[in-house]
Amino acid sequence: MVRRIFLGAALAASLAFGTAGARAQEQSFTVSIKDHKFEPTEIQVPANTKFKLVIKNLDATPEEFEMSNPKREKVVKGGQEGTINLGPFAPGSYEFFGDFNPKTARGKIVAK
Amino acid sequence: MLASAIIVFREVLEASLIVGIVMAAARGVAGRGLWVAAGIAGGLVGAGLVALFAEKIADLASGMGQEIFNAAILFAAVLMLGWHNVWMGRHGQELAADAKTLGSAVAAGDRPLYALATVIGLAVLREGAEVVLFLYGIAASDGGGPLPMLGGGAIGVLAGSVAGAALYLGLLRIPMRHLFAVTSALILLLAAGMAASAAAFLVQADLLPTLGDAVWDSSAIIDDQSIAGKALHALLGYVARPAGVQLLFFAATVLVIGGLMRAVRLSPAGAPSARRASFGVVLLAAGLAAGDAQAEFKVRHPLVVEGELELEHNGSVTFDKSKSGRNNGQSYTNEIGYGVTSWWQPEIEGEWAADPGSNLRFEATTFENTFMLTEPGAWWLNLGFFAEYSHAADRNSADSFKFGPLIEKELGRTLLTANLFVAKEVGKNRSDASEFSYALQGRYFINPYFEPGIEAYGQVADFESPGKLADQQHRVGPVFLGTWKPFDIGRVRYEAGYLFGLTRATETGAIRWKLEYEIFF
Repeated sequence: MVRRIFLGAALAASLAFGTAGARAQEQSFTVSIKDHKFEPTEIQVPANTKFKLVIKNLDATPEEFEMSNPKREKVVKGGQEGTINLGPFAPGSYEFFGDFNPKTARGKIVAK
Repeated sequence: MLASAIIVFREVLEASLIVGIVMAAARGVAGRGLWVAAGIAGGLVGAGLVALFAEKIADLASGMGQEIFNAAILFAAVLMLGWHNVWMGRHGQELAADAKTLGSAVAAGDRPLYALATVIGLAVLREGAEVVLFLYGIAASDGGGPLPMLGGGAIGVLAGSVAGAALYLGLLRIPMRHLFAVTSALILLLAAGMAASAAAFLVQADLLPTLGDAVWDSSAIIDDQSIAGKALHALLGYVARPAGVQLLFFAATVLVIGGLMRAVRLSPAGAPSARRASFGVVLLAAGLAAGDAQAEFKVRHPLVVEGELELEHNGSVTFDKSKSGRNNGQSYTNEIGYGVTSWWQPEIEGEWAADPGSNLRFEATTFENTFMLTEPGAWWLNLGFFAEYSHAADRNSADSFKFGPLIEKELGRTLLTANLFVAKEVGKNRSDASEFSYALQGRYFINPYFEPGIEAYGQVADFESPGKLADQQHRVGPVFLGTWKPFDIGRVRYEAGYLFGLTRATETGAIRWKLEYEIFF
């Protein structure tokens, strides 16, 4: 029984890490948070490609970067950085917002 | 004249369809004619009053008085209809049996006829007020004189009443023993439609989010301004472009009233007989030995957010034929969790359960841990790990621990999640079984507030000797979920679903729900 569990775990892990190499050379985009607003508010990315988004929080207070589709939530403390993995996106626009300041911190990623 | 006839007809049609259904549902009850007439009369008087004070009402609640008033009336009607259906569920079989022996006249004493009369009154009031206002408006503005308009109005009232009468007579042709089921179903849909309409009014009053302005647009098939559309609106709350929140209220009403109806009908009123009680004890013992029948229906995601505090409530009620002793099993958990690091979230949970035939009692305290192993989206799968230890409240019951992977795959707007768990008992009176359980969910993102999906849960009491499929528990059903921010801080998540039992060992149906509040600390 123990062996079966280990086999199952190994299978799941290998599936998860299956494309291990793919993330190594990935494009990276940056968005900053200043005065509870995102800069820039629109980020152009290539469609159908995986990429990383680095969030630099230039404010003193924390902000939670959030996207509904796909589901991403990351709290970035004041003065800190956080990274989100995104893509591949079909062409279109994908909105994100700062959950702690949802009225001012809004932006979108446009995949072309 | 024709224009006013048509407009009045459409309004009267809605009310008269409701009156027809309600009257058919009350068939065979002595004195119902009086109650119905009282309801109609009361509704007409109320309509006149509403029309008189229309401006004052509209000005209430910072200009949203009209919408709130309409929503309140509709919710009151939903409550009345729901209560009637639940009441009928409890006593309907007795009444049907009585009717055969007593003839078609049944004692009206117990029946909540005033509930039906109120529903009729409210329907007449709603539609009547609109008719009165409309006619008044025409009388005030139309230079052509009041006669053609009044004539048209009279024709409209007549035609609308005829339609309602036709529905009533049509329903009467159904034999008594089926009439109960048919009218109960119609009333359930009526109530759900009203709840959806009430939700629409609250959206206009800015008290509810739309959850999506138009989840679909069927105006090409049936326009909601047409006669057919209005009739469907009366019966079901049909709109060509429903907002997500309307669908939510519709489904929630069906689930809640329908669930209560079944729970009430399937378990006989009164104290459980000795035989039922002892059967229940046998099942309970079997449940303890094999690991309790799966009660917590929850799909866990491999996601941890550091610094986030969660308060969560889960509930489920299972339904089955009353003789099986598995009907109306309830299970509730309440828990609090916190994202301690960016990859570890511990939670503490309290479990309460009421097995069929027994009272609610506290079952266990559980310490749960979710570990996020991969950053979401970084790899082909999102991977996490879950481990919990559950301490039984009853000293004579065994504790247990459970663990397993949390696996997720993102595919555009679709999210697929799987939980695969192994559980073992420890301590006193433990069984040696290794229980395997799974939870699967596929959901589709429409908007943050409304995501429909399908989920499946299952349990194999001992995967080392799994036995026949029919003896395992497997269930599947629809679910919808979403998030919402009613306050400035934090966020509310909800889930609600119905599960159909697939094997002989599984209860026929179950409803499950979750309500969660998250806040950053």
